Amino acid sequence: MKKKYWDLASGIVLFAFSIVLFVGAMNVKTLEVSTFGSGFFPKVVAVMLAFASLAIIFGGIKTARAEAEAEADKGNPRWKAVLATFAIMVAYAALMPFAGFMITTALYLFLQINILSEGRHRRPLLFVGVSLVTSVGIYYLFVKAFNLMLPAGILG
Amino acid sequence: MLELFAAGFASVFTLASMFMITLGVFVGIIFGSIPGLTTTMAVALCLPLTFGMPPAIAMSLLMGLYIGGTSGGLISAILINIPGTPASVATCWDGHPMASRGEAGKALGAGVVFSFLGTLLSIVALVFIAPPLAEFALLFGPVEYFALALFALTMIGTLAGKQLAKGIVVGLLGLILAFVGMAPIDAFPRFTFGIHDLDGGFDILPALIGLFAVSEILSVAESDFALKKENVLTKFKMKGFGFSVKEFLGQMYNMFRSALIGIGIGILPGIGAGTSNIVAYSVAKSQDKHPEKYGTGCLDGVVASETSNNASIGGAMVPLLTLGVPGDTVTAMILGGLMIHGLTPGPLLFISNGVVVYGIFASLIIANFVMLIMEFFGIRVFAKLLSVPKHILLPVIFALCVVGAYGLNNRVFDVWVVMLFGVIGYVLNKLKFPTSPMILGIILGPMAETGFRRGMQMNEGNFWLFFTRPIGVFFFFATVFMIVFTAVGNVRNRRKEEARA
Repeated sequence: MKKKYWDLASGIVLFAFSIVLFVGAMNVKTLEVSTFGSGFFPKVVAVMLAFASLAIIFGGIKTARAEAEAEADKGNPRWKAVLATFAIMVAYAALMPFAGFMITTALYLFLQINILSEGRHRRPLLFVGVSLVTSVGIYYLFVKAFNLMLPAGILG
Repeated sequence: MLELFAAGFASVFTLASMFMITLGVFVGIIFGSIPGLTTTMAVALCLPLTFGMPPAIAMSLLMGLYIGGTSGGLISAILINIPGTPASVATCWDGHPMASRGEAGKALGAGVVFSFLGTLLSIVALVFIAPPLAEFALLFGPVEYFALALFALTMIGTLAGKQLAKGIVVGLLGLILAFVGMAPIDAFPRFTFGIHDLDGGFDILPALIGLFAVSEILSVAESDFALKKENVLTKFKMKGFGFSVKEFLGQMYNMFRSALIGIGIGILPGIGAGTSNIVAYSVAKSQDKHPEKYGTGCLDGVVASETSNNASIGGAMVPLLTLGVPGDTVTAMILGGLMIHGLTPGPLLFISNGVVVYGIFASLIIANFVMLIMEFFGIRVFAKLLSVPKHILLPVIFALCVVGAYGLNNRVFDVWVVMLFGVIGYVLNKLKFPTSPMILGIILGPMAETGFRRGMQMNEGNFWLFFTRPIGVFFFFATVFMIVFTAVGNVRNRRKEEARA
């Protein structure tokens, strides 16, 4: 999607969300006695959000109509890197309870550093070293010196 | 007050506290000076260290980070023309031109000294304003807190800048995210989708860590930013502080004015150093007889920016400590840090934990001196650290953020919260929505709702009785005034732009 439609699209999504929120707020459980129960504030906010998103939609229509201004592109965003980063973050959190903090952190660090350095400045040995030392260091520092609990996993 | 002050200082004059202050200032300056790393991140990252510490020591670390981080931004602003944090945006405008014509030492010296003086003045203001304000705030009931929260929410208008609708949307999203969990008063869970981990709602800390640290990592992944080698000016001379006594005295008026602006903006909820440096700079420029010299490398610009951003520190601590309303993003983090230790900021804190409050004052004062000494003697070291490869630094920071989130409640769930908010922050950035209004929404939403519903209970469901409370009425009027003021300003700006087009 072209950048000039972003505002319009996000306005529409937000508007739809405000309706969902309002319906959800009607079903919030609350004490029978109070007129302004736990659903009241969410309803008010949903209405305000609806109005604000309308403002964004109108603004969005304006920008979409305007001639595509010379968008100062800062080069192509590296979507692959963003998605990969997100994927390894999810895997990191998902595996941590099983494999433990040290192993998952070392793996995460190594992969993340590789993603961010993308091709250039690749020094695998240094990256492996940094990943291992940091994850083991953080684990012992926090568990031993600061009495924090971290998942030990299969090493524990 | 003097006794409490003495007790506060005594609690900080321990080896552990002094070490933590020094460590805090050091880490703070590093985070402040490296572009892309912020003071908020530094606090997020160091919070897990404080979980097991006594509150006084924990607070000395956080205060050190706050002062070091706010001041550290000047180093990269002057040496590479990129503000280290949003607090030093205006420092670039005159600081870098000075550096390029060979006066880097003078610009850095002035920046450091006036950061110190700005902080000092603001701490004085904090010490004199906070205790009486806290005493006054003891009178606040639910109605007053409701009105105060409404007023504070209008600051979204100031934060949003030109994009008012977007700012409002983000603030509302913050309110909505704060609905999740047990509702105030009747404690029925709402919007939890049957997930029991959500019954307590989202913790502020993982939310903030996600919004301000993780979204940054995703942004770096997207751009080539991580790899750019910045041109760091490392060859500069520093003789003393680089400026003469006469030049120093010539800045007195500018300094006091900028400090007042910084303190005032700091006190306003939600906005802090990131706003004050720009405001102080433009005021200095507009009041000067020679506005044309600004931007070409004049000392006044550096002084205005650096005095005011640090002056916001003391200012931002005022509403945090007395009312539980954070003055900016860093104090929002500190709010989370206080809560971990079972300290709820607000007027009662001054009574129940007076020593901790005065310990915070004492830590700020000591941290300020440590900052002055460390930046004066270590400026070259910090300048060298600017070229630490970010593709290695950022992942390590994320791992530490995970430790912080996990350590909060010993559950992986909070790590997921960090990621959720990281994605929210990233998407908002991408779509050009400002992110900071969200914190206001998250923190003030529950305050407004609880106040409103308690007030309704007290007044037996009659809203009009809210207007019988004078302090509440004052804040209601202030709220209406702010809304009108923001709306008029917005329309005027748009007309101006249309006239230009």
